[in-house]
Amino acid sequence: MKIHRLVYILMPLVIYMSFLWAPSAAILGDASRILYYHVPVAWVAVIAFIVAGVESIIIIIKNDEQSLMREERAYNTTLIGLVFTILALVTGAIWANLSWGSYWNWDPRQISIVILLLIYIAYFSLNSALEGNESRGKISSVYLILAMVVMPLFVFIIPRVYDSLHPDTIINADKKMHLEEAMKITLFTSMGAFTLLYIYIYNIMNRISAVKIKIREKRHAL
Amino acid sequence: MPSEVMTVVLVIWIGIALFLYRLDRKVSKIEGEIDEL
Repeated sequence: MKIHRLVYILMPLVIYMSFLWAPSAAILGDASRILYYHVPVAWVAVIAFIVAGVESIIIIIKNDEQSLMREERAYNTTLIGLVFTILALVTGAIWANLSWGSYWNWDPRQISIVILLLIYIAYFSLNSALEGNESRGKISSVYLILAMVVMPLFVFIIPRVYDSLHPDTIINADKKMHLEEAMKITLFTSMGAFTLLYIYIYNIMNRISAVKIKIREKRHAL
Repeated sequence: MPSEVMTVVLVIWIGIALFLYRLDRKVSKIEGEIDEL
């Protein structure tokens, strides 16, 4: 059994822990339970974009017969990252409405995540515009590397430079997590479950890409 | 209230899990067929 299939057990456990086992936060109440979904989806988005950047670096460095599959893998992980960024934005907006009274507050964190989203949407425009171009893989890879380099600026730096309504993140100034033990356990279990979900989806998408490439090769061979 | 939201989230997860499971099986089947060609 492949380890990512553990998600079938872990995710229902996370759902149970997040709604019934973990206590609600003192001020935010039950609304705080969205934390166990908002943080893990944002975490997966960052991981997915880093994987895309790393795959792209390998494409540029190696440039061998595996490059086509690597390009597909970079595309797949970027697509997953984009979906999870949208989920982070949506869960964040729901949480903002419950805590701050409005879905959109022009908060530096909300703005920076939308800019990040636009950067990665532009990748798909670039990739599809270059269809049939020999340099498509390399140009797209360079773009993904640049996007990976600027990503920490939008995720970690800008929201900390400007005053924000957003609460301290896990990596905060005093380097301590202000959460009860049960809440911490639930959060980390959820992050693990969402990471497994990412690996599972990424695995299936890559296998589909490999099948497509094989079919294309067999057609050319005929 | 949390138990009602939990039920909705659980139903959404069951839908996603079923979709992934069926997709995983279909891809495995196609992979097997391609290897036989």
